[in-house]
Amino acid sequence: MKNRIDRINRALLAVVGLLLVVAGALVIALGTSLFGGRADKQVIPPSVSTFIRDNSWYWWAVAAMCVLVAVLMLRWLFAQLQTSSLSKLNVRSDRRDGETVLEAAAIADAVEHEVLAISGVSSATMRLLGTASSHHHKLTVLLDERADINTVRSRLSRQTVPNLQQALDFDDPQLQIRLALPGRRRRRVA
Amino acid sequence: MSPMRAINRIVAALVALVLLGASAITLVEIALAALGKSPWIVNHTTLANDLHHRVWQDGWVRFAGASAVIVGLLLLYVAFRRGAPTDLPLQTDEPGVTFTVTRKSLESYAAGIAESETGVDSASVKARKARVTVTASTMLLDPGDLEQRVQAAVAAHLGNLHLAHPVNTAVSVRNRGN
Repeated sequence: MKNRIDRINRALLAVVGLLLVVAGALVIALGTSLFGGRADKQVIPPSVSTFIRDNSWYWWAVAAMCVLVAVLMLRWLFAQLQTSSLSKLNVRSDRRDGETVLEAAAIADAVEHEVLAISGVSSATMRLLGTASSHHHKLTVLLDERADINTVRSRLSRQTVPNLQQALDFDDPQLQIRLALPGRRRRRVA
Repeated sequence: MSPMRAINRIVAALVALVLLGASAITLVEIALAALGKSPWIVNHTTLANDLHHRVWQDGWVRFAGASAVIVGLLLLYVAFRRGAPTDLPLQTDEPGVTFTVTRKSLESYAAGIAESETGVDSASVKARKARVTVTASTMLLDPGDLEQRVQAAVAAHLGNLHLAHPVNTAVSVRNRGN
């Protein structure tokens, strides 16, 4: 259930970091004569200038590369602003008798209301995450000092999960239930 | 969102902005040069002349190389660093359903258990996937078996949570009286 954009961020940061390390190490190696007597050679020798001057396509290629990088960076930048929350959920969309669209807030309200009725639960927050084709649900349940975690878990498994399955008409709803335990109240699990 | 993920997003946005800015400036400068206009930000003639006269052992060139290595290593660190898990999984055999307990709440819960032991004034807990470390403070001059009692109490309560991966509970007792 890890967020896709976070995986992309890690991969791209690793690629950029690796390129910088390799390029920087190469520059240092050239400057410290690790590659023979190149340390006193010019960074841009005359042959490079001649090549650029004689090939008019060179700057077009650089410009095309810059456009490509700019477009990719814009996409990467906007991806940071995306959230994976869903506001609506299509159920029964493949049936001939029309489609049923559920508001995420309505599902969340119903589930939260049901979970709050369980003894020992002080708050519940439900979120629908992912895309229309691949989504999952995250239910965060805050327990209070009266809570017996195993009883709460049992109620959630026997009551909330089947009800959610029925409401969404899915056999496999992909649900993560996060329990937040009561803290520092000298309370023990029964 | 965990702090590590937030940092990754901020760094990713900064890197994207820097590369976007560099690409945009280069594009504008190429266009201006093609039109025979004077440069906008980077005077390419001066830059080209400067690079023609610099050699690889030049201090600035090596400084640029070292800077690239440092920034690259920082980016690799951000990319590969695994922060503490935000949640610890609980045992479950229901298909499609995952039960987890938030790490922060588990730490606070375990600290509460430790503090409930007679002789413990305060306790702090750090939880990882396979290890829970409890640091308990006591005013007792002779803590006796306090470490064992705290360890047994915390381990028993964590055992009752049915965590998916068994955790080792390590306890250290600090005497605040000294």
